Amino acid sequence: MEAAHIARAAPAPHGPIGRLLEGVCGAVAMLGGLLLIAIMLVSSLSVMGRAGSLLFAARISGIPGDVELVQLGCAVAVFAFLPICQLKRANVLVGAFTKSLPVRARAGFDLVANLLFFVLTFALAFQLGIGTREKFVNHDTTMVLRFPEGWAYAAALAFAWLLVITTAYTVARSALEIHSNRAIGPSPSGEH
Amino acid sequence: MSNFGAGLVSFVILLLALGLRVPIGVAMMAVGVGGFIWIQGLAPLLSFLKTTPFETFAGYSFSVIPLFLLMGNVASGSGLSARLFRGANALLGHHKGGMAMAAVGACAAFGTICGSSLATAATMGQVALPQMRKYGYSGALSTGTLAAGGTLGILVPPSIPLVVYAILTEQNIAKLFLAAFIPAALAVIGFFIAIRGYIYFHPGEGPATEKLPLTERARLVAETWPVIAIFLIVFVGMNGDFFFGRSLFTPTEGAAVGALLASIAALTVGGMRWRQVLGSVRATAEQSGMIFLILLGAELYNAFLARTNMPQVVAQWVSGLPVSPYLVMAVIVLVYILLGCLMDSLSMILLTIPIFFPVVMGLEFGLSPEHTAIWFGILALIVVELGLIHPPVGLNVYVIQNIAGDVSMLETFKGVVPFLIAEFFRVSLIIAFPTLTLLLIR
Repeated sequence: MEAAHIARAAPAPHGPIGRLLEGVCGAVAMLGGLLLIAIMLVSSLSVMGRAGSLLFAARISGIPGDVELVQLGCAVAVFAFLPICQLKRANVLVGAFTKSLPVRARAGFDLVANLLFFVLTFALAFQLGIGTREKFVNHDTTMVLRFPEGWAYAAALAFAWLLVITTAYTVARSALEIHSNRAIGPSPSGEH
Repeated sequence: MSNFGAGLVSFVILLLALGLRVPIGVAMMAVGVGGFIWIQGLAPLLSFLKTTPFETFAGYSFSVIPLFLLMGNVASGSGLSARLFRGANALLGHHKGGMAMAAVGACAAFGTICGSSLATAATMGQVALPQMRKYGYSGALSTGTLAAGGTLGILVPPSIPLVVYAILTEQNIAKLFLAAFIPAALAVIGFFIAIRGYIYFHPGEGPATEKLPLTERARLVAETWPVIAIFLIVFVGMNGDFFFGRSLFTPTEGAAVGALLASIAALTVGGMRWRQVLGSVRATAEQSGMIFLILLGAELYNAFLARTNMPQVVAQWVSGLPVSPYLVMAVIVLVYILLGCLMDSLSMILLTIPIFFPVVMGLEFGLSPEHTAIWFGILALIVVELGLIHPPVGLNVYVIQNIAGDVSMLETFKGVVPFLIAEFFRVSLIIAFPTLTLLLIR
């Protein structure tokens, strides 16, 4: 929103790494979107099945384990959505106190924030990896379908590491912005 | 330092970090993690991180959020919004200021399939603004109307901030949605009065348009059927216990069915292209990612805050104050209005509810705990949404002014003033008469 109503120097385009990451994160986000559409279909079919069995007393019913599928699917999809959000600066932040500062100062604050996020996501991905291994070792499965939870964790883990890479890139991006005194890549959409 | 002190200090650090451009989700995560280590050490935190983030994202009640976002995004990209405006305009357009009232009505109707305020403002803005300008509506009135009308997007259920409130406070989502209806209807009435009032003082800024023949009007109104059908199916199903004693589906299933029906409607009668479908999915991905990062941050921060007992101590202290509970409520409303100058509505809810909710629940309003929780949820939703239209940030105002292009910011804010006055009266009514909110709740 910010960029739309305050005139600023046009941001410099992405470098090759930025473009590559944008492609990968975009593709992963679309994968998450497909998963979300699958969740939508599973949940809707389950409702229709239940309604059908209610109306026609037929032998159709809701999809067994639909809740588990929705839960696991949703968690994996959300992990798939996080990297593009960080890359495109879509995460919500309060810009009111810093908006009149020069580009370099704002990039300085962003550098600190991105570094903080990098450390957090690194810890998260690392510990999620341990959690995933434990899920496989313990053969944890869902209650109804006996679906191995480890596989959903593993998918989430892959996207969590993509998030770590993306935050590392945004740290470098902020550093480069300080160096060149010019905004790089997409303008913020989450700034208030 | 006591745990209570740590809680207070953490809140100050959190606010400081927010002021210095740390994204809200990241700031809450960082302060939560820091506080967690302070109180319990590193090992419990590390084991917390192994599964809790995944389990948070896998929360069944959270899955409502991306599905409702998908529904709203699909609806935004389709021709359904234009149908709503044409239908409402056929009913109201021939009155003075009628096209503005039609825009408000269309925003409310669009709000039944969209849970976001910005999306409602942007979508209806693109549809209604050019028409209003074409028929001689002033820049101030038309932009003010749409900025204010957009807030109906989160007020009329479904509503993403309300879902988050329900999850945070462990309330029933369907009941909260039901409770939002009368306050939303009051908003529409208030906005109508604001428009007529504006026309009274500035005649000629909102001319009546030609009255269409009855058959044509009936046809245009009838064309809004897909939205009405989707809304009825989703809400009758979700609030089944209100209509026939048992609910047909969970909020998540309601959102899934709604998203499916909206997609079908958009692709058939709405004339949506596959490219736009991809765009809707992409927007959903970004919005969900942004929301879930804040949710994860709140989960971590609240896990820490709960261990400090700070919210309970504050709540006890406030309930022991020798002042009217309504005064406390008024102060909370004021805090929300101030925060609304800086933040979006969802962040405000996530940041404040862990502290405000126990405070409010500790006060005596003569209501049952469940009714207090529902009433406060609706009230909080209304006041956080005010931040979208009042200066200095007013995101809706910026979005609409941007779409209009030829209306100055000052004029847009001037156009918003009558609506803010209407909202002031509505908030007062809702505080003074909790019955207004609780009438539909059993």
